[in-house]
Amino acid sequence: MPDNDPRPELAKRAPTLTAAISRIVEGATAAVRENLEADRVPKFPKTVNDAVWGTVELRPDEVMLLDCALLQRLRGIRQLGMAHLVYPGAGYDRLEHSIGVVESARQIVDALQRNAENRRLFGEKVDESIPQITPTDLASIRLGALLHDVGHTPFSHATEHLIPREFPKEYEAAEDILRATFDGVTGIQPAELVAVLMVLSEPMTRIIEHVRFPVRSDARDKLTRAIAARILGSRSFLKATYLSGVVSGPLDADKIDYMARDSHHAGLPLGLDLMRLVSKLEVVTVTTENAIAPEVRKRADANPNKRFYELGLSRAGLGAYEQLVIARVMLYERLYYHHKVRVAEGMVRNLIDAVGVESKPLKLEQLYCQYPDDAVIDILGAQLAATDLQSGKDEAKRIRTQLRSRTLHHRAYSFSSRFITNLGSLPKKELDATRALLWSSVTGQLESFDGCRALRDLIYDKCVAVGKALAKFSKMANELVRGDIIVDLPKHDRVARGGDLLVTSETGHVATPNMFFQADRWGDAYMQQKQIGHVFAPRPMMPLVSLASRIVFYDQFKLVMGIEADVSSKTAGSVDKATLDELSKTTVCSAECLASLKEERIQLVRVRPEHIKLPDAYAKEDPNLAKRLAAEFDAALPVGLPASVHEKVMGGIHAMLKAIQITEEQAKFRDDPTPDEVSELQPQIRSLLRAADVDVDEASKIGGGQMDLILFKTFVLENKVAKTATDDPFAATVPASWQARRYSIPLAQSVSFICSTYQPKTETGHLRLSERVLVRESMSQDGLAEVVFVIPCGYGAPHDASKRAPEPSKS
Amino acid sequence: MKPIQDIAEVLVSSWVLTAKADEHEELDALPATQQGVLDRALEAAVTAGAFPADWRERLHFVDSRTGLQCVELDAVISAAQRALFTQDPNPSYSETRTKIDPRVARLLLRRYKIKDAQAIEWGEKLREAVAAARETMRAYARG
Repeated sequence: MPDNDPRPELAKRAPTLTAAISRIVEGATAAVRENLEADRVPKFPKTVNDAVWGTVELRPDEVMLLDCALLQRLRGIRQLGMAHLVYPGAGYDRLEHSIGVVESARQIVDALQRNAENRRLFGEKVDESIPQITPTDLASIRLGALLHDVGHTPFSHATEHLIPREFPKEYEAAEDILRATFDGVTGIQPAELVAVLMVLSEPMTRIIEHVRFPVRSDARDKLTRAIAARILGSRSFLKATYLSGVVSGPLDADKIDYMARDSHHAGLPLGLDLMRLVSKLEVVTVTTENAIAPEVRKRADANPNKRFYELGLSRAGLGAYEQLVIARVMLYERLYYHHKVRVAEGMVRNLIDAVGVESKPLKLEQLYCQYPDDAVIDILGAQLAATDLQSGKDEAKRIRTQLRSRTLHHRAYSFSSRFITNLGSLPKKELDATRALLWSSVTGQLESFDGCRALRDLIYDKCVAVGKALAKFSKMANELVRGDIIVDLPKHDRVARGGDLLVTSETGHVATPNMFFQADRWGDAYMQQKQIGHVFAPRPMMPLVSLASRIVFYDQFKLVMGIEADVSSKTAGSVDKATLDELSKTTVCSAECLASLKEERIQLVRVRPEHIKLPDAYAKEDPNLAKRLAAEFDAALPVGLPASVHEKVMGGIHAMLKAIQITEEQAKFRDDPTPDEVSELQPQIRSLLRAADVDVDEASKIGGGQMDLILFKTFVLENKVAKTATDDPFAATVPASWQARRYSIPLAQSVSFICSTYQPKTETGHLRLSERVLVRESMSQDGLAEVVFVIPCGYGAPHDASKRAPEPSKS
Repeated sequence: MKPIQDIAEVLVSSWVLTAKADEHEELDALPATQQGVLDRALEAAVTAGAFPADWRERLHFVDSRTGLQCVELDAVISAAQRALFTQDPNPSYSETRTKIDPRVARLLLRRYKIKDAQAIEWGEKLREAVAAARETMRAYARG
């Protein structure tokens, strides 16, 4: 990249994105350029009073930018999104925070400057080569601090995910270009990326490089890139490299300010020792001898005096650092992830979605409109009209009214890995792995907002189905609106990566804080243990949404939450026995789900060899048959079945095997290659099963197909006749999509039986008894195990297949 | 963009499938935070062509202020913990024990239509890279 300038590459690979951002900056900074042209330029610093830091001094260049629309817009964006609906004082804005970051950065720079000066003058190892802070270094830090949040959209993080939406490819390209240009950049948040593109834009460059712009800089042509580098936490464009993490780093001015400010405004005392923390920041000398990694040593080696300087923390500051990490965890727990804050932010996202459907989706440039958060709610919700921001219709109006009257939804269902209750029967060594298998489907699905919405849709559809099936829920279902259900699983962001900060000892050794204590990981553990997801709904709809959520969580994830979940969501007792009895007369949920909701001790049971009771003839012919079938079950149905369903399936297998054996002994279909499914095969199987005390129903009497039987009122047995001769009857047995049929009782979703007759094409196709059954995963339906039984027919004289040497199953 | 949990699922499954049957607990642990060992090993494995192409593209490796760092690795490790593939942090947390067994690892890989043999090849590359990274970092380990 020529002269390390990303702008030509950005214009080439992200032209639409950079042009849109350039237009935003052009409009929002017009006043600054006018003032520059007219020589209306502040000549002296100004001071402002700040709630956290007291008096804050701003330099003339900062004052000039502060008063333009680009920054004044931040006055309308609340730092904490919708948290003010829970903590009334937490309504401060991003402009206040941005000014606070300038002051916090000044204090850090002062501390480092003082430390550098002491190191140049005092101590056993006087180091006169520690670089001085240049005017450009200082200007880039202060302007970086002031501008670091200009990329934020309304409601702060609640809408940040919308930024990459319009130009996803260009967004990714821009991210790659910035990483290639600026050294040492780690994570880039969407709002941060936009802030950097704004700083690098042509209109902003014109301001910064204007001859009258009152900034003190010895490299004006590189200043915008230096500011961008500070926002990204890069060490590029910096003489005093130890300042690289001041604005954005493991322990930066941004974090220090917002933690102090959030705590102050929300009224949550945290006991932060910020003065101690800042005073213990120091310049760390990294040499080829004390480097902690090969790349670091290489950097030191590349310098003439074989060393470079990095931001670090004295060991004496570690206690204050750990306090900060733990305090931040508490802020997440009590403030950012408060369930009412989460639901309010979910409702804001729904409002924006509703406008997208009822009018048109918001464009990137509209996300940078000049309206404050509350006005955005009113415009989107059609209470106010604007020419540059569209309004929604009925749905948007409804959500706007809910938000403005603080009619927030309630918890109808809670879910968490620690609430899972239906795996108790598994041996300890399998418990962890199976829980991970099931729970990972939840975390995977809910990793994105789209995934949350997809689950929301399933719950809504289930609510509608419950409303149609059970009269007592019909009114609720009729009044329920899809968008009123919000599914949310907070995803904890790492508080600070302890490995990113350097700590020095008196002997000059360099290490990272987590070599001593893993405070960041403890934060992770705490947040993970506390993580609870919720399904929210309006209060009157809670019983319906609560029931539907339970059904969907079982049918989708095979998960049942214990009483702790109900206590968490305050829904204990909302699904009573009478409701479950009514459900059992409907097809709203599967048989397994119903069993799981009803069972007092809810347990999923995996199929083991000892569960499969084989008739003697089978066990004698193949001693490994039970083992094979159990392994096949395991592959097709890895988490097993609810105990009561499991028992019925095992009983069904035994009875079917016996029926096949008797049919063989009777030579029932020996001379008929294609017996009639309805008049011959089905009556034969039905009568043999009934003789074995199996509860058999004609499927046609309960809304199913003519060829189906229902065993134990729980699962389908589909009877089929292969019309052409084959030696591979299992491949030829393709089930019909029985799920599509309309049964009037709940049936198992995860197991079905298929019984098929076939005419062997050659002698090898006449399978031995023990070869006439297998379990396989359905090709047509996810999560369905098919138990397939085959019966040879039309083979004429008694076959000699049984005389073949036994070939036991491989297990 | 490839979801982070997908990366965690394939990474942990490949690791688990290459654990020896009688492996000691300690050997079956992923070096979660230890001195950037896993960052370094991942880069080496990815450069050697391990793991699916779409998630190789999702990972970024940066020469950070403390050395080589995989930008997404923190999120991957957090996703693995959230999904219960690995244990929670503990007082001596520099490695994280895997909590899934080979059976579940295979089932997870099925979600992505990845064959066992392929995952085993990746897992072996990663283990080799971890051993090499541990060796490299031994010279830099100081408290």
